[in-house]
Amino acid sequence: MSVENRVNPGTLLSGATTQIFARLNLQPRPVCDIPFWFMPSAILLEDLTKRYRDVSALNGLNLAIAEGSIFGLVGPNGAGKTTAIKILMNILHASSGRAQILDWDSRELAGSAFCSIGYVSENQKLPEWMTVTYFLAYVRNFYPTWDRDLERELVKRFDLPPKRKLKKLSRGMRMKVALASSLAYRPRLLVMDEPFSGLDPLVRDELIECIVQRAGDATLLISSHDLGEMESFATHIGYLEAGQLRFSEELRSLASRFRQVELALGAAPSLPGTLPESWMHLDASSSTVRFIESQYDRDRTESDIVRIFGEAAHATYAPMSLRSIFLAIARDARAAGENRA
Amino acid sequence: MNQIFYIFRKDVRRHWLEIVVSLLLLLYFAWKSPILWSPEPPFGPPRISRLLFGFVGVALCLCWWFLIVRVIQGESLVGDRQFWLTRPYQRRWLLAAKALFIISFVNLPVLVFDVVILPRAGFPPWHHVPGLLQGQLLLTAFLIVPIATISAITDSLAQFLLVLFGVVAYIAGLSWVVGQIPSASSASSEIPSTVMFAVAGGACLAVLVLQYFRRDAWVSRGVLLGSAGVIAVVLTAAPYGPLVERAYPQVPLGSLNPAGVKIEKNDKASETKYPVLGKTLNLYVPIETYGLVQGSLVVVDAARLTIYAPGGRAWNSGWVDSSHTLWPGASRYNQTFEVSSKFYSSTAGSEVDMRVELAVSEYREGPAQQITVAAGSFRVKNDAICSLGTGEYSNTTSLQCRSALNEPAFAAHLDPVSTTCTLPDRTWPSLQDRRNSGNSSADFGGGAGLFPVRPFDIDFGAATDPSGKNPVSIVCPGTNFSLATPALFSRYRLGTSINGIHLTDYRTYSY
Repeated sequence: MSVENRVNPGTLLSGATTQIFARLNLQPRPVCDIPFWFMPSAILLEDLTKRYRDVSALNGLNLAIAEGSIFGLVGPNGAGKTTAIKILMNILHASSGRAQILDWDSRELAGSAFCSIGYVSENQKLPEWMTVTYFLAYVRNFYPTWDRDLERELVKRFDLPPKRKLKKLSRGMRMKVALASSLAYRPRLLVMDEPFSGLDPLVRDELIECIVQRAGDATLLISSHDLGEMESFATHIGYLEAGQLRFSEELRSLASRFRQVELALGAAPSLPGTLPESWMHLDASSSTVRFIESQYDRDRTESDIVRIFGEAAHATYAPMSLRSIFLAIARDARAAGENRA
Repeated sequence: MNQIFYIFRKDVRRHWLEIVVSLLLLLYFAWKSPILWSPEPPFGPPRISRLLFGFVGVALCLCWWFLIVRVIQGESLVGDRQFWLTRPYQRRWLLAAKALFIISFVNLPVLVFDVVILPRAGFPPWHHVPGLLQGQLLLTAFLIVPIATISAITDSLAQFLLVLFGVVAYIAGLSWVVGQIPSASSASSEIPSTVMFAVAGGACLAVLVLQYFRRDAWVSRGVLLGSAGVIAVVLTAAPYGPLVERAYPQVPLGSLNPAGVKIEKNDKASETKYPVLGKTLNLYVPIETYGLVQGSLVVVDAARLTIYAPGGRAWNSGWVDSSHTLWPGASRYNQTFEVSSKFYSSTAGSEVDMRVELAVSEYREGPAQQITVAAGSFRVKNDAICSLGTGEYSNTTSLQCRSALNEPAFAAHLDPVSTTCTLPDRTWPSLQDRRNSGNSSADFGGGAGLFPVRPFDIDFGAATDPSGKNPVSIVCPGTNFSLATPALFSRYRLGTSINGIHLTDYRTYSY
């Protein structure tokens, strides 16, 4: 059997991430071989539930985010990302469950704890009457670790107009100001809620570059409903849907375990009653079989194929983009739900 | 701790315009304040200046309100999108910074204003330090804390105005409801009022603490609504009648207190039959007191009328407010009662019995001070400055006075025989002993802080020549009068009845 490993444009890590890291002359963050949930957690959510009368925004959410990771929390609109983040930041209170952020229970997060934590959100209300310079000078007072040089560098890099009032800034500029004011004190954890939403691609790339470059060893939690932008720089990814975490995984491991498999067989295949559980969306037509392998291991996958179909004339194992993986998972989850129903 | 300074400095920068406007208004107010106590010339000062002065006073209050709302909502405590929520703000320092701002730009200017105005009015401020502090306390309790509380549970000026409108509507509605309750007069509402202020004040402080330390707007709004409910229940369910009777016990039998009252026949009863219009009509009951000991004066705080009609029917007015002052010797006044038109009509033509009860406070005068009226301003005791009043017809029967912070309690006596004014006939009956009492109880507060000088009159009543048409002056330079401070002696109820009268005889005022 001949085997081909195809690399598609936009696939995980091998694509956009490495491009950004290369452009910035940075090494990708080391990814441990041990599962990340054994690493010290910067964020830990346990059975987190948030109800608004009859509506459950979060439904027993469990999540661990390892220190030093760039964690992309993705999911469709209304999945509960913003609610989870607001509970983490002690802006909202959970109905039940527990949220731990760095060294604090999130319900006790206040005052000086925010010297170690940055928060940037798309819908945050900034004091719009302040100029850029005054805003930075004002918030500077609250942070003992504020780095003036870094502040100046960020202002320069973001090309922020120092004397312009925040209300006169564009949305992208305001996001840059918020980001500058959250990076300048070198927080241990930076939480960003849909920071790139509605921004043009140029501004978005600038922000992403700056975040990756300037975050240092900080843990980053970024929520987004745009899988493409997460794929470009996140090291870990979590998928939230209907207030529950569908999965949370290191991006590299996710990329390595998913493959789009295509088999060219001599004749029309006869499908057995049971297929390996890791195979998703199997599609057999004439002499070709396509499916998604969610636990790709070359030897095991090959032996499974041989066991079920016999020798294939040709097999391709194509890496998948994050978007393709999520679509596959979402379709699978939906189908499982319909079956249960 | 430094955060207080940072936040304060930021707020000053943010609200400099409002601060300047409020200070300019206060400056104008201070400049024009003598309007408050300067003697009124015969044709009055230009009306426009007094109107403008009043307008500036209102504008000043609104400006302070606006400033308080804006500064508190600068770090809004409602909602989840404020940038400061995820910054290292210490809540206690935030609260302290806001308090410092309000103290600096509302309390302190008012205190400075008071301290500047008092010497201009002739009162050394250091003699009135407790009163000044009490004024600050009242300013904080009645102007600042309620506004700060509403600001703490709202996110914008529009929301604030909406809630304020709701509060005003609630107060108006509750006042109307309480007004319909028999006996809910001021004489009986001391305990419910105390409960109301305690609950409202406690709720406001609880909400401020809750909002600044827990930021739970719904709980805070619940506390306010709950307290509004408690106040409504207390004010509508309070046993006003028994409260009056408890505060003003019946004079015990054998009491040494010889004071008494009786209902006079209305000697001015008109033959005119007044039509019955509306749901209620007024009855004017002439009351005469007797037996009050010399050196005492009685203030009628409330009165109650019961009418017994044939057939065992009765009607009761409940306790109604009154504020008549009665003196030793023959003292007469008309007590007004609002009577149900239906009951009145049902008794038309028949004889009824009437009982009137008065809840009174008796004051005893302390040692009197003899005062000689001077041509210009002259000091009366230590706490007031007076000058000769000038009336519309240039006759003088009163003194225009001012005091620091609150109106003093006084009882003034003038014997017209000793007047230095030129009189047409010193034996004319209208020139009998003249008396005037001001605020009988000296335990009033120090004012709301905005007017450190209280103007008041010592008015010895109208005096006319023997023709009864031309007013004459009885207070002139050199005239002596005595002034004493009355102190509360006791509170009690007096009652009297009159039988076999016609209500129609009491529909006109009896002089």
